[in-house]
This record gives sequence, structure tokens and C-alpha cells, in this order.
Amino acid sequence: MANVQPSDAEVAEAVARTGYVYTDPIGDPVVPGISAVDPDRVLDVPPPTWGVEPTRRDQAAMAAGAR
Amino acid sequence: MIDLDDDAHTAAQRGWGAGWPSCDGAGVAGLAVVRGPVSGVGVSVHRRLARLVALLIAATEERGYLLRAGECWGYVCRAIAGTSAPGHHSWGLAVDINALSNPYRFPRCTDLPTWTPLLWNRYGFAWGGNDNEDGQNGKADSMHFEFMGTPADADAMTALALFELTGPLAESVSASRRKDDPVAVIPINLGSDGTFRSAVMAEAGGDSIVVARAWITVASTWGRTAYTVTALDGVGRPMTQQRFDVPNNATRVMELPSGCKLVTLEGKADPNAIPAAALISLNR
Repeated sequence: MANVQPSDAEVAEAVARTGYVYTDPIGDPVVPGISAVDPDRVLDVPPPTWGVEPTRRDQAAMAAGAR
Repeated sequence: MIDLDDDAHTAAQRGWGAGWPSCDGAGVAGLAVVRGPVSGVGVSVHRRLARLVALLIAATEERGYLLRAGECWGYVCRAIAGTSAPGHHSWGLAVDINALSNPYRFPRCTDLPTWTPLLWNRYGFAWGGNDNEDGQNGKADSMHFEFMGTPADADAMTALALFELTGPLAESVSASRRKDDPVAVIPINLGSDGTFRSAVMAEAGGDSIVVARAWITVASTWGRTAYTVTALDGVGRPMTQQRFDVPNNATRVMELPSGCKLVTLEGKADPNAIPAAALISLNR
């Protein structure tokens, strides 16, 4: 995927042009659609029966965590 | 550049704090719910990643692929199934999209348009559908997108997405507002010895008034195929060349350089193998 990803120069230009610095994103008018988690509303999560076996990424993460 | 294949480091080792069981990494920073602008379907993610996920979900939906309710998940403070190791979702850095039509399965099964993983790849998300596409070590996890960078990388990718997907560049390219971009099948005729040569007109960027970006995808089924893909400029000079040894039931992708006008494909298929190739364009 290296040929899809941006070059360092592209990233540097974007950072310079946008001047983006992280701030709390809740309610940001520039990037709409972000809200705080509603404590009264249960988040969608996979069903308990989902993921009954570790994926390849899971297995790699377990190996990485064990080092 | 973020290494999308870096499975040697956990999110905790990349600076995101603790995953399951405390899930303090996401707990301390906080979570945010990101909703698709068309579907209204929400996923919860680490707050520092929320803008980037919001921009990518918006770009995905505005180009015609909608999230479906009850099939999309983000943060879950859980261990990996059957283990005591933290799950990827316990940091809030991974999202599952439309799980029923992008199941954990071999052979890979997905209804994601080709551009979708490429879009998310560009901004630092690995796609689980690229895992085990040969079926030798398990199954492909086509629903799964996972951010592979550090918190600083998340900020840099957010800046890039703001610049490319919402700024003046986006308005000139209108990438995020397109429902359909053209895909052209590239004909490949095999010789009796399995070799082939093919060519396709393939404008990408530069002075093209039509095409902003373009990719060649090559694939192989019923066996392995070796490809050499060469991008040429307007006077036939090679700009870049890549070789791909594509296993059975696998695909590879190459983005064409800006200024490309013509692409040649040469190679050889194993006996009984069937190669396939396509040109995908993102129009201005």
C-alpha cells in the first residue's frame, strides 16, 4: 500500500496549510457529526458470539504484547 | 510513513495507553461518537482519532457506500476472543464496517468498492480484508479498519484529510462527492505459453482535465500470475515500473504517477491460472 500512502512532503504541506492542532472534536463545525457518548444510550458493539477465534491481527498483537 | 503492516507493536506500544482490561487509553482521552452524514449510523472511537474517522466515513458515504445500522462497531473494551490479550477495539482505534456483508471469512467476501480500502489506507488505516487473502493462515477480516500510527500520526493524517477531503483541493477534485468513478477492465489475452502483453490508456493527474488519480489493480485466480506494470508519460518514457507476483485468489494495487498517460502490463500466468486487471480512476 506504499504507493497509496502520502509522501512526507504531502503530509508536511497539509499540516502547514491547515495548521491543524488537536483540540476536543465534540461539536466541531468544521468536521460535523461528532458527539459525546450518551451515557443513557448503549453503544453498538459486536454480539457476544462474534469473533470466536483470534484473527491474524489478533495473533500478531498477542505476540507483540508478549515481547 | 505509517507502516500498515506493522503487527509487531500493539497500540499501547505506539503510545495510545492501555487497552483491555482497564481500557484507560480510550478512557482517559475520552470517546466520541462519529455518525455518517447520510446514514446517521454511529461508531464510537478514541476522541483524538474522531475527526479523522468522521472525515473518512463522510467521504465513504458521500461516494455512495453507506454504513448500515447494527453492523458497524468501534470501541469495545474486550479481550481477544478466548484469550486474556486486549482486543484491537479496546483502544478505540478500530472500526468494523457493515459486518454482515464484510464477514470474517475465507475466501474473502466483501461488498466494499475497491476505492474504499485505498481511501482508508491513505490516511493510516490497515484493512483486514488484506489479511490472509491467500487463506494460508486463516481468514480475511473485511469489515475491519484499524489505525496503525501514533497519536502524532493521527494528528498529521487528520490534517491531510482536512486538506484533501474538505479543503479547496477537495472542491477541485470533488473526490468525496462522487458516487461512481469509472473502472475499466483491461483485456489480457494469454499466449500458448502463458505469457501476455497488454496496454491501456491511463491518464492520472498532471495536465489531465478528467482524471485526478488512478490505480491499476491486478489479480490472479486458479493459480499464480507474475506481472510487470509500467507507467509511461505522454511521449512513451517509463515513469515507474513495478513487478507483482500475485498468488492464487489475490490482488495487488499500484497507484499511477501524476502525468501518466499509458500503462503496459506484461507477464506470465501459471498453467490454468487466469489473470485479471482493471484501471480505476478518480475523476476531477
